[in-house]
Amino acid sequence: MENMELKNEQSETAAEIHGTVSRRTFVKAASAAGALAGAAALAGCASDPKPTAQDEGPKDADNSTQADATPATYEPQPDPFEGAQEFFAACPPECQHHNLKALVKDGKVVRVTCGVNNESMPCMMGLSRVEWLNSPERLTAPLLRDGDKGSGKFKEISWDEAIDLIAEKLQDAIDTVGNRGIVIDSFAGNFNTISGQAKSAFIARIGGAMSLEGTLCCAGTNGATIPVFGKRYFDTRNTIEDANYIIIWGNNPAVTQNGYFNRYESMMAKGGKIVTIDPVCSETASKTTEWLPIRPTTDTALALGMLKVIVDEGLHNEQFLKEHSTAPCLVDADGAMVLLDADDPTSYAVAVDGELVRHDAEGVDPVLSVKGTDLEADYTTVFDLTVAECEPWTPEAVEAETWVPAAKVAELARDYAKGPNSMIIQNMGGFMRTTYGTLAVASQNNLAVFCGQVGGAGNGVCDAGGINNLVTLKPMFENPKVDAELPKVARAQFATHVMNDDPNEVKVFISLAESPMTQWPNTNMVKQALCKIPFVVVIDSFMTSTALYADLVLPCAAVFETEDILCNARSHLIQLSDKAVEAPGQAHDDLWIFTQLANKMGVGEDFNHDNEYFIRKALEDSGFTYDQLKKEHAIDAYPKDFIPYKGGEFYTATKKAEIYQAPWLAKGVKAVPSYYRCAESVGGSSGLDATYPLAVVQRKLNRTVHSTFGGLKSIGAVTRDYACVMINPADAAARNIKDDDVVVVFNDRGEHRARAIVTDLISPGVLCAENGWWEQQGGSSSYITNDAVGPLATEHCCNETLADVRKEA
Amino acid sequence: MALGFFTNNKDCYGCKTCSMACMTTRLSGQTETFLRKVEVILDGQAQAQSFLSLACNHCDEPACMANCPVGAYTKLDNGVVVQNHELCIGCKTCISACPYSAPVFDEASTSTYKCDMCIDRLERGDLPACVEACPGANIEQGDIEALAKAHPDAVREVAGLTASANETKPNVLIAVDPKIA
Repeated sequence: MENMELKNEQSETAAEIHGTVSRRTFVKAASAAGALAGAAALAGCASDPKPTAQDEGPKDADNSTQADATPATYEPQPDPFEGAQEFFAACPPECQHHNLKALVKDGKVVRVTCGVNNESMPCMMGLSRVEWLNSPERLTAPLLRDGDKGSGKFKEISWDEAIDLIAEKLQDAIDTVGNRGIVIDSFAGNFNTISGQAKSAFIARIGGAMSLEGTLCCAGTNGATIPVFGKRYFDTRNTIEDANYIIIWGNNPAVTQNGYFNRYESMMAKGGKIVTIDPVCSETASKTTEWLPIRPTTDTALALGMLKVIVDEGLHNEQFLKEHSTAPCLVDADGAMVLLDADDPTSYAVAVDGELVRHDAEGVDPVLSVKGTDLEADYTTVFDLTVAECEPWTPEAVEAETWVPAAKVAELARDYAKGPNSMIIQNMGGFMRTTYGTLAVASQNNLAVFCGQVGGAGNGVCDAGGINNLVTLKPMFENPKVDAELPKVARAQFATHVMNDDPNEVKVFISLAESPMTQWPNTNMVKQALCKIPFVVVIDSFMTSTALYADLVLPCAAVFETEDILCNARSHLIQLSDKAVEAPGQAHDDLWIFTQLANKMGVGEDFNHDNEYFIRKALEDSGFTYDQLKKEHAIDAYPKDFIPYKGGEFYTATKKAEIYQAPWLAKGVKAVPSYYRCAESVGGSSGLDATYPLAVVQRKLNRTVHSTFGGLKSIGAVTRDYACVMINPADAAARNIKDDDVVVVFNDRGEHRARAIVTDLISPGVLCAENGWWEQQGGSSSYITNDAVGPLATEHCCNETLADVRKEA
Repeated sequence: MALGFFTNNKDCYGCKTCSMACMTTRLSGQTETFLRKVEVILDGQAQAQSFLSLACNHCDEPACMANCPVGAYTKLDNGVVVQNHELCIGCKTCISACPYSAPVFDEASTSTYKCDMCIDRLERGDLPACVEACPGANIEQGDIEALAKAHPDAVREVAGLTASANETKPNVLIAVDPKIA
């Protein structure tokens, strides 16, 4: 409420300035507005106001007592953007999907700024799109390789030649290997709907292809939160300020939730406490109440240890567990949940006075544990099984495994349980990019369930948040079914599959909205695979690291150069993205490219429509219309004060948190969160620690979204254009490494060059490399990262990497 | 009257949106001439990643103006220090003179630019680009006395980080990150 008042006041002041005040008083008036500037800016572009300071500022234009503010010798310059046309678009890489506004003059975008109706302010990268749109580095014509792969030598060819060539190569693959010899992959570079669906429609119409599975970011959340809570992609950003206690676990909101970070600061200003658990004292760790360093890959042990303290001290919420989880449900000696009706998979049994009763029977009040009862001979409960997995994790055992001091383990557990409103910020954190990432996520989710810290304002587990949970777009294409037997391989191990022709040869690889050469693990292997595949096509707007290894590069339109719609899992907005300007040279959008290909392959019938047609189709039955979006650009369609899993009602078949996952047993792990030491860790079963004693984690920088934006001059100039690696002074001294030395991080997979940041901001025994550096900037940290995958959700294991580091000779 | 900036080093988390907003607004088309810069302070002992966003401090005694050989600088009645690019010869004297490294040489135009507080935007009733764009609401602009009243703990210099305020009497107020204080 207070915030709203401040905003209104500001806009009135602004209106006064625009409307009635003479130029002589402009300066005074504007300065008064300026003092309030922190509180609010233009409509739709207001930062979250802070509760302090602004109230004290001057509040009206006549506040100044100075006699005359008119400059004697200054002639105001005309607005360079005057008369510019305004266009709006979503910023679509895997980020917060802010709405942006482009100002266009003479057919060129001259400035990019905050769009409409944003939940928070867009970041530096969004504003840098003005360079992207006008960059002389843009690809403007199809380029055919004219030298060795990786040489960067290409020659321009026509679109007709390019489309003919791709169609010929696809047909050859189909004729010789079958559709399984083709991979057409896109990933996190563009969340726009048309782009992704045009690709999928094309694949389906040519009869399918080999597909890649397992997300590189958050397979652990898919593996845990979807089955346990029934649905994921719910954020808790809107009630951060209602929390008293927050654990930010292995992620860095100051960078990856940039626009929202002041909500955390406001929460602390109101007396809240935030603990950041991270091997690195990140920007977030530095700005929050306490940094708790943790040994990489051991987060599950900490969560289990916390849960042990909570249960041992009786701090768990019995009522919540009984009403909103499967904790009281019985499990038989074979590990199966006991069903009272063989035909009803939700008819779980619970124990009441020694009798078996349906968990959802009217007025049921089950026991959580059957220990010490007659039922113990045949049954156990999910609660007992869960607690048993925590048993070994005494605070002392946790300290030995995780480096988190025993006393801190107990303090964390008590503070979290007592809240009264406690939140975990999980946000696809780095801790889950390990072999058992699913269990790490599940163990944190369990803390929330056991303490009843989910389903209310100020609590919950914050995932990436998305409007597509609540608003569904209709498919733009009706795709034919393809052969279900077509192979699926783990994305993180695609390169190995290619090298081994496993399960078959890949003859054509088309890659768009992604850069495997920077983002996929084990870059040398990826590079070999790209060299081995006879025909690699990259669709992009710049010569990316991956494009360097392509046989054919197709120039793609960028944001503000094509019309599209975004309704996805990172913001609460439905956004229509305008085409503001023409793409440079012969660049075209993905729809155009796949339409040409589909026509050439004789399957183009459904493709031959414009972008508006597909957007209108997607919006049918959505509750929103094209014309409405054309007018409003971005609509915040989240219900006000939305609470995920409100009141403990989950999206599972039982509407309860199904914390026992029998399918996990078949994958070789327990059905409740348990701790397994990762193979590629110090003390892990790989034995690599004898040679490579340092654990490497990857951090996100505010200069790229994965690798997107990384090639822009303005981004390099405002941040830096070279990679760094953080190393503890003790580890640096042992290797004669000094601050700012060029070092080589290495293991059997490869080498990554970076400049050393020698600092106590990182724990001894750990290196922190940086995600997203391009080949042209010295190469990605993925040259050294682990390309293993986890058993439960094909987890990407980049943060389970051992290496050593030496000074560059 | 003296207009100036308030910058919140305590809460700033280093996203540099202010720098990008400034350049893309003031010097449209440029890619490397940043007039507002965010200094990064890493202090392992203090567990600090700290960030200080500064542009021109529109000093009461501007060293740029005092040292400019061609009189390209003017301090306006409202305190804003502006440049006349028709006079600027790109000699960089002001860059050496300014204790805050506020002026920046622009290779493309062989001229030197610095923050003018977006005075033209102020005249039109808009906020300075940096103030408008900061996602954390950590930059404010206004009458320096009013800003001082609103931020009583803010200071005009940070030992070891910025020049002594006595040198040029900057119109800047900094809320200091206690971890680096």
